[in-house]
Amino acid sequence: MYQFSWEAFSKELLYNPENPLLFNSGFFVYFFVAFMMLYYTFRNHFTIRASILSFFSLYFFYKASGSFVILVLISATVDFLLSNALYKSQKQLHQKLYLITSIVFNLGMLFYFKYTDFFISLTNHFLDKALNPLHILLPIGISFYTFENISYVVDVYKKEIEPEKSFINYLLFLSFFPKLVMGPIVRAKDFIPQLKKPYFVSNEYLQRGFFLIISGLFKKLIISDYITLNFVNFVYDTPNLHTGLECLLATYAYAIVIYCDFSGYSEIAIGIALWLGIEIPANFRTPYQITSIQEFWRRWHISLSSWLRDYLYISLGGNRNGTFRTYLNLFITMLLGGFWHGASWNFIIWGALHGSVLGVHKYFTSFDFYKNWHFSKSKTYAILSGILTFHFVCFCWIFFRAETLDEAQLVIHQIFNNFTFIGVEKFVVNYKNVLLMMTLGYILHLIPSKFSFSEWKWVKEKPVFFYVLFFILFLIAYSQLKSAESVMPIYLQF
Amino acid sequence: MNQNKTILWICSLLFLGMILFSIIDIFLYKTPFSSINILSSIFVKKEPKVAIPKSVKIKKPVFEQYTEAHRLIKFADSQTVALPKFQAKLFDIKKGKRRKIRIAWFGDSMIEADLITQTIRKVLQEFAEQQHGVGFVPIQSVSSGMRITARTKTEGFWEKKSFENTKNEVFLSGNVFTSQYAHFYSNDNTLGDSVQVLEKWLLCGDTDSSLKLKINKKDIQLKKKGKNFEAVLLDKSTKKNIDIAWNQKQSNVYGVSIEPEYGIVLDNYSYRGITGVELNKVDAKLLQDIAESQYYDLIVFQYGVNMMFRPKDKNYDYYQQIMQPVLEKYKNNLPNTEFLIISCADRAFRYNNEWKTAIGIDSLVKLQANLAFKNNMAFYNLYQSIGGNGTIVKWAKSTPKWANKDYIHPNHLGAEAIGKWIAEAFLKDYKLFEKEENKRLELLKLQKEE
Repeated sequence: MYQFSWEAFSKELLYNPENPLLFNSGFFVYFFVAFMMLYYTFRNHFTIRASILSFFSLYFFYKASGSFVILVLISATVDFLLSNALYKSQKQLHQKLYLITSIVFNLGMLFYFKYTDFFISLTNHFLDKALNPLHILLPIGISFYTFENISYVVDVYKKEIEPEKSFINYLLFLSFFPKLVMGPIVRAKDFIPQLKKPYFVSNEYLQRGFFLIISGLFKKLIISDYITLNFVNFVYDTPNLHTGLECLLATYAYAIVIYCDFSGYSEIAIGIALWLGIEIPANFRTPYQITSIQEFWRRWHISLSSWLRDYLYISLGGNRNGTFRTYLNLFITMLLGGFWHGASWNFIIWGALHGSVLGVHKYFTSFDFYKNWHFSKSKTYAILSGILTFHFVCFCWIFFRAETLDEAQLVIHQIFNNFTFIGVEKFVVNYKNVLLMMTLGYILHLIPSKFSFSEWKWVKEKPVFFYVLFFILFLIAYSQLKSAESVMPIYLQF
Repeated sequence: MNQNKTILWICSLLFLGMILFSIIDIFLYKTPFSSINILSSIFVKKEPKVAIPKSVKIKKPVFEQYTEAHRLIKFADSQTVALPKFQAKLFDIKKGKRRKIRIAWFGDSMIEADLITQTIRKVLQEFAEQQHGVGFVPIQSVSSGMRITARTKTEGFWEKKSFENTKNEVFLSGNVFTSQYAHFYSNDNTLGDSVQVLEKWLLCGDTDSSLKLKINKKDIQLKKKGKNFEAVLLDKSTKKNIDIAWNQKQSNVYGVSIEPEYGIVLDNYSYRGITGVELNKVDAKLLQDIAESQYYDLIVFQYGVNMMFRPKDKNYDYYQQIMQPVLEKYKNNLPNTEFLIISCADRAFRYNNEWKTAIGIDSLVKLQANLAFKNNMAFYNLYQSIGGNGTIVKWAKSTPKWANKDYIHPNHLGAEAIGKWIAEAFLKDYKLFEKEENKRLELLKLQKEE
């Protein structure tokens, strides 16, 4: 017989490292409904509304990463005080000092939590020391909110915005739960003014939010999770047990997985924000529908690439100091952008590869002959160039996905040296569901935007019942997939 | 129009819908949506508690010893040496006798790329003679690129037969090669900086009586006996590598053994995806020739993971039926060799979206123990030794990781730990032997004095 357990219930309310809160956790349903009730009730009291939103955001953060929630509070307090002091200060020198303190504080915190062990291992390797790694846990979302802090203080310093007077609003800007864990990185100048408006959800917000939440969940839970668990993990954990063909397909699979996973999560975040009456700009725009690497970076993780452009590339001098410096700045920006993703050589190489090829592309397209080259304007050129760029991006993903440099080299070695079609029938039979899922992922991605689901007129102006039914249908599909028998790695079969 | 109320309605109705279906799922009948039941974590099933009387002590039957971890088990009334012949030879070495002890270690992808065995080899070699050497190196292998202990390179045309495409022509490694004027190079990486003599043997089964080869770029002609199994010494020097070029066609090339002059030689015979039943394809005559040359002192079988390919399987009785003849064949044809069966390690499947140890694993381990018990072979419970239920999931999720995300294979860290544990069990067995042997010798001495 089942009984309600107070013990289990109270445990549910606490942080569980085994099961951190995400949008797809069962707990999120309770969380969101309770939140919506309060948010709606106090919709016209801006301060209470912001306090509720902040409280729920911090609680969400606590459920996702435990005591690290204190870091968000500390960093919000420090940057709130520094930005206000900076604004009030009359002397240029003091302003600069406040700015530098804020940047050092934020980067220092990021560095300590994210990169200490990496630099300990470098010291051990190059200086022949034997320092023990500290095994510091990485607080969830730290890479995102430190960047948000920096951009905020820099904007205040440049007098582009006035600092926020209300601490609650600033805390909310930093901790807003839909985007706290995995971004997008938002800018205070776009975000905070929206907190001071009445809770208004237009028809367009309702429908777009609905579409984004459903498509985000679909991409994250159905496509990405399935392919990761049933294929990509097998191959990337043991590339030596797989042929070159399997490694190549796993890399294509990973390309769609990382897109679906990351953009899916962003879309859910943006969708939820829209339903709360807050607009966050798109973070991904079909990034593989491209003809050049430059275009890829205009469509991939837009909130990060634009942040890097505005606060790193331009701060380094951008294109204002001659051709050589432009290329160097571009390279450094991408290199550090790579390093931002994680403390390992693989991310540095990933960033360096993108930086170099962006440079080569920029150089190549700056020639007059290219500009006058008729072929470069043809559809054939666009397709060929798109395929080439996609493959370059995939090649870089190998470094992004592999856990060590050796593992990345091994995957590349398998693709180039052990490429064979032997056993392909067995492969297709075993992984047919994975292959179907991959195909679905790519088809959905490559549909031209004019045919996109979000543009379909029939979605608009529907009763509440329609939305609920659609969610239920989605849950049924998700549940079926969740309980489906998992696919086994092929090397277990003789 | 402001749609904020609509959103509240959507959320509330959806919530109510989910609660409703969760209640139906828990209290009325199981729906296919159990995996997304949002009430399941706070409604707990109350199981009636059954008290176990503490006073009742059950004497363990001999076979039940198989559940014990971290020791080589010889099913007997008291704890006895599991591998007496092996340990006697090791005892001789420790007493200063210069000899070799050779182990054939059979397994599946768990020991591929010399994982696990490289650690066992190292520990045992250091214990015995401080002499190293990688042992058997196949001509070609799918995992040669991953193997740290030896580097190999082949050129020219090699023809290969394997378990998959032959009836009974393969060597213990599951392969046999034919060299068409081809080239083979191998380097032993187990020595590090030490300067030690290494013997390089060609293992083959050609019926020709002579063989023209170019060894390290020098032409040589070798005389052969023409048996199904033959080890031909090619070089004995401090050189860590061997370069062989064939000046003729040679069939039945098995591989090369790079080994120390004295001490332990441990040959890794890994073959991906098999259960051990495939070893039946090795011809009895080949086994007899191996026995005649007194090549192997100990044979280890480490299989099982490939038996568990369906998550719901619990009954593996058919494995006993097909594996029994294989064990008999090896035991009968290699009468002077000892045998050890190592159970499967842990593997997990996704049950209801959560990775958990395979539900059939206990019955498989028991069955493997039973095979050892019936055939009077030694047994090592690897599953219990690594920690039993839930271990592989824990390893795959730990930092640093000890296992891969297929929830089957330990990675190099996990494999190193396993290797150390198994080697320790060997040494524990040796200590037991040493104790008994010293006691026996003492007694013998006393008897003589009397």
